[in-house]
Amino acid sequence: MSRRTAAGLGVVIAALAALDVLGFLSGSEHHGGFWNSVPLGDLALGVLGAGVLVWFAKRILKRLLSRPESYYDGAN
Amino acid sequence: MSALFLHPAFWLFAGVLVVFANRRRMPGVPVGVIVALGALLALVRGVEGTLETTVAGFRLVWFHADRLSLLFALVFAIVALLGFLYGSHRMRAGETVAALLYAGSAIATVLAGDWITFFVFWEAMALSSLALIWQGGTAGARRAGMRYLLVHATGGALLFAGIALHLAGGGETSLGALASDAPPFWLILGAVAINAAIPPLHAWLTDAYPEASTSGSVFLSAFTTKTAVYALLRLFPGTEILVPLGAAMALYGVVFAVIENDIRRLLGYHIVSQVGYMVAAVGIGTPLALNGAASHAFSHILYKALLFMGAGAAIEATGLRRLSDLGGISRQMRFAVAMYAVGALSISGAPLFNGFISKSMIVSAAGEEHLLWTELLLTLAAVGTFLSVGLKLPWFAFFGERRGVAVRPLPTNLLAAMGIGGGLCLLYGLLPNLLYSRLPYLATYAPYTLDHVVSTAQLLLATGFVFYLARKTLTPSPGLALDTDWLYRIPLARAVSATTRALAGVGPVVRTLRGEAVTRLDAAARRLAAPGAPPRRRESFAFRASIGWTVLFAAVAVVITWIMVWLRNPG
Amino acid sequence: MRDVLPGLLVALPLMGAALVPLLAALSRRTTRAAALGLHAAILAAALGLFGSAAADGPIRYAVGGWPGPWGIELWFDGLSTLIAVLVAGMACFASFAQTFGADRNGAAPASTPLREGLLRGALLLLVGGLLGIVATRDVFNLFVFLEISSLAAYTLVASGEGRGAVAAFRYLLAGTAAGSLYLFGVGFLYALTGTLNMDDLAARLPSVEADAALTVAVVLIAVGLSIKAALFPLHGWLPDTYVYTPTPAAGFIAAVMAKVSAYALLRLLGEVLAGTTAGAVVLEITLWLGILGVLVGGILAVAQRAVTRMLAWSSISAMGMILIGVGMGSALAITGALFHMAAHALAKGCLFFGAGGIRTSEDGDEPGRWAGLGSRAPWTLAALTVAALSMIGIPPTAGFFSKYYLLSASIEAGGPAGIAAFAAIILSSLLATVYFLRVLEAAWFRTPGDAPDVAGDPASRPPGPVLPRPLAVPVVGLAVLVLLTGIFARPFERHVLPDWESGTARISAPAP
Repeated sequence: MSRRTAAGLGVVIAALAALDVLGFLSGSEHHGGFWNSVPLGDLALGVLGAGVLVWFAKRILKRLLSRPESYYDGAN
Repeated sequence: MSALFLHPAFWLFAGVLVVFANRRRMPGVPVGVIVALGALLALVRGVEGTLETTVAGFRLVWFHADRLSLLFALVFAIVALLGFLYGSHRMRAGETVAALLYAGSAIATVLAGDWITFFVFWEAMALSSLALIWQGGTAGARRAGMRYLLVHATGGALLFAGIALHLAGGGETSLGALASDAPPFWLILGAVAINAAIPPLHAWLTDAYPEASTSGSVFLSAFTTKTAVYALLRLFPGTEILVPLGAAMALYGVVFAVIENDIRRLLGYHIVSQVGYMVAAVGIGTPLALNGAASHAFSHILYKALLFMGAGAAIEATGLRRLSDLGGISRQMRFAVAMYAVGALSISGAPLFNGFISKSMIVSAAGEEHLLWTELLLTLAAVGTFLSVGLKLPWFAFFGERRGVAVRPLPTNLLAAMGIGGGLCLLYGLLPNLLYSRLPYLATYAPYTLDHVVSTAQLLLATGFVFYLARKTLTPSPGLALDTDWLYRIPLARAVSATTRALAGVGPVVRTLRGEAVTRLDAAARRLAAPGAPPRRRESFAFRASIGWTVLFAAVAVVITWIMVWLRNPG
Repeated sequence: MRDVLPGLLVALPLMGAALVPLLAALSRRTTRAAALGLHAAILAAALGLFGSAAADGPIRYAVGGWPGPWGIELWFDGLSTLIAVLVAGMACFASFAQTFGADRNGAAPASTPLREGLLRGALLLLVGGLLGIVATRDVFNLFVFLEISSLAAYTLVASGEGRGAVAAFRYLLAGTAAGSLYLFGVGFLYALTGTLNMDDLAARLPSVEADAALTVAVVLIAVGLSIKAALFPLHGWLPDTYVYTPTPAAGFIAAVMAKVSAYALLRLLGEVLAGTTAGAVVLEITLWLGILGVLVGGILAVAQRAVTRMLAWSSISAMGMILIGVGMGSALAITGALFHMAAHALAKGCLFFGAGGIRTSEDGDEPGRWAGLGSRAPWTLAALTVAALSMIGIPPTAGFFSKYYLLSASIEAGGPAGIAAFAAIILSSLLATVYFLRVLEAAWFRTPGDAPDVAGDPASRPPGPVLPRPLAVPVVGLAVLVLLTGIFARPFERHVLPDWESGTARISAPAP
């Protein structure tokens, strides 16, 4: 990742955090989970969730369930 | 008679006759486009009302239009129009007839007002979709179609049993929410769950949809599962078991999509995932959640058809269907890729696209009911959706390294259909009230609030970040992943063939044993009568044994009956 | 009219059976016209009796003017006239179909006018025997007609090429065993009560209820008729017989022959012997064997590689279903059983005419041989598809409604038998979906090139249409009837099927 991309990403994340706080302060009615009430909580959840998803699918499920494409050829 | 023209399915069924009569002279597709347009016009005014006919003593409510059924019928007609436009350069008469019947019976199912009409068109939908799959024309399509048939015949049998029990128990003849304490409830729920592709009953979908033709899978992606969502809304609103099922389903599809290599099967897993949102919403059962389910079905049909069109465009252009074979073709099909991107952003729930206005409604409804786990799972599923459909599929199929894949130019009608589909996704995303004003239940919702937009942006950003880090790990490789279809493709198939072999074997075995017994008795009798005479040939005993068997059966039957008679009135 | 038609109904086919082979000496056309005309006249007589029984109540007819219980009586109520119409109607289609194969050049014996005349005579004799079974009110007379119909059927089965003679011999052994057992049973009954007239028997039976010999009599009668009705596990003769019979006769035999025996079972066990404990017990056993037959027939139909053999096993499944209805014995169950008799006769006749013709035209019996027929003969295949959908039970075909009534009856009956019957009927629909769709898929969605299970070159098939007119007309006609019966299921049930009041076991005429 180049320096400029990283800087741009930092700016975007900072802006999102600010908007998060703003939305929190504006006191709009809110029923969501706790991760909605923490600044950048969704970002953290997204990174964590996507990471776990990739890890689980690619490292565990794929090992368990992957078969060669000819697996069913003899069956119906 | 004028009432007939009001029914949108009438247009599609009439189209079948026109195509069939001219099957050798003209391509069927202009007819498809025209009659789908007719169906659409019949629906746009949105006339509510009920029309019924008493046929042969049965009261058949064949047109029952309220806001819920009209919403589904409208989007069905739209997607039928798009599908015929999309496929018009390659669809022959057979496929057009199957697609017309399929679309027509899906519309007629959601407009059915009584159980019998509903069942008739539900079955017609299963058979015509099967015909559409078989039109794929390959050996793979044929075998997948047989498995599809097996699953849907089971579903049809469950539905038939459920309706028979319901009506025999004095149930209402008109469609309505079912009481949950009776067997019909569970039988019908099972049938609908099969069509809604709720795991572990979902494998027919990911098995069969990729095997249809490119235009066939556009139709398939729209009707069967969404008719099941309609049935859930109509018959099972607020059934609590659907909440965990739907949430698990949303995540299940996403996880399998991560490791999938076939582009249309990947999209099929995302049908399972997206229908999971709707199933969970039906289970939550508040007016907001039910509106969410209905509107998400509406949005889903549009963007999923668009995504399948995009995948089909890649297949049409290259003849390849695996992510591991594709790559580096975006320059030669920019418009199709752009429209695919619209669909991908819609399914990911990005603001300004139509997925956002309906998906956020369901997540909010879960939040309002304090269903923390449901909300969490649905949020994670949204992350995974963007990861697979929004990033992985386009990256490896359209962008990525160039492999020197030959790309044919795409026909105009195909691009036009994609353009209209993309335009609709944007239109509903930008003007949500176009959809909200047609929703059936009383609940208001504002999608574009600050916190919705910000949290969605954070989730999408985080997903993109993870994809960037893990793009090497996510590189697809050839191979298939086992799913629940394994259960009937290997163990069940083996059990059935073993059973039939055993049953077919019983006859000869019994005959041989009997023949053996008769031979010995016969030989013994002969030895007594004429010692030293040669034994007789075997063949005649097969015939004699069948008489022996009958007499034996009669004797056993006499004894059993006599015992039972004696038990009933001893002495 | 009421005093002429009953005699005509039985006498016409028997006299015709003697007359038609003689006409063969004149010309083929005369033979055909005479046979078809006779069948039409029989159908008209049956319809007339049906209408008369519906309008003015059951008809009792004393043969030769000798009244019962000494003379032989014929009895026409809603039930027997319904079956008579079914038999006579199917016979018209079969007679029309008998032109098929009769003038095929090559196979020498099949093409002689005399042989055609004899086969037409055999069909008339078979119809006469079956109508006699349906009409008679005398249990010994029923045996006589049973034997007449059997003899005619053996002739028709044996006229098939290849293994037809072997199949006929096995059928003969099973049929002889059946007839003998039935006759033993009747003998016991006569010894016990001193009468053979059904009404008289029903009146006298209560006085001998305690006698163990009654049990033996009832079981022997039931076993004898069950063999002819192909009740599991006495179905062994059926597959070979249906497969090796020449197509026109197979369509008729598969459609109505076993059903007439099921009718006799219903008449005797459900009405005449209904008051006895043994009769009730036997009906219960019949119910359970019917459930087993539905499942075994369906599973083995899935296992078959040849289309006609698959249809034969599907018939065993269907007979199980009819006998489930007979075994349950409630008014609703009998309605379902009779509805299924009609629906299955129409659909299975259609399918056997079609599959038999295709077996000849495509020179083979595997589903792969049907590849591409959908585009070559769309209307014929559409008709066969309708019949197959009826066998599966897809609305609005007749088969859907017959299963619907049987399912309702199972729910009404309740208990383990009701639940088992319900599950078996549902499962049989599922199995039928699998085995019929396999064939339809080949017909509509494959081209002859990609049919891997066909040995040899598709170009080597004989020229000519898929189904010649003698078979195409019955196929399409029967498919239309299947659809009409389904669409007008409610009026059919109300006005055509008889009322059956269990318990009192009186069969009243259908409501006008």
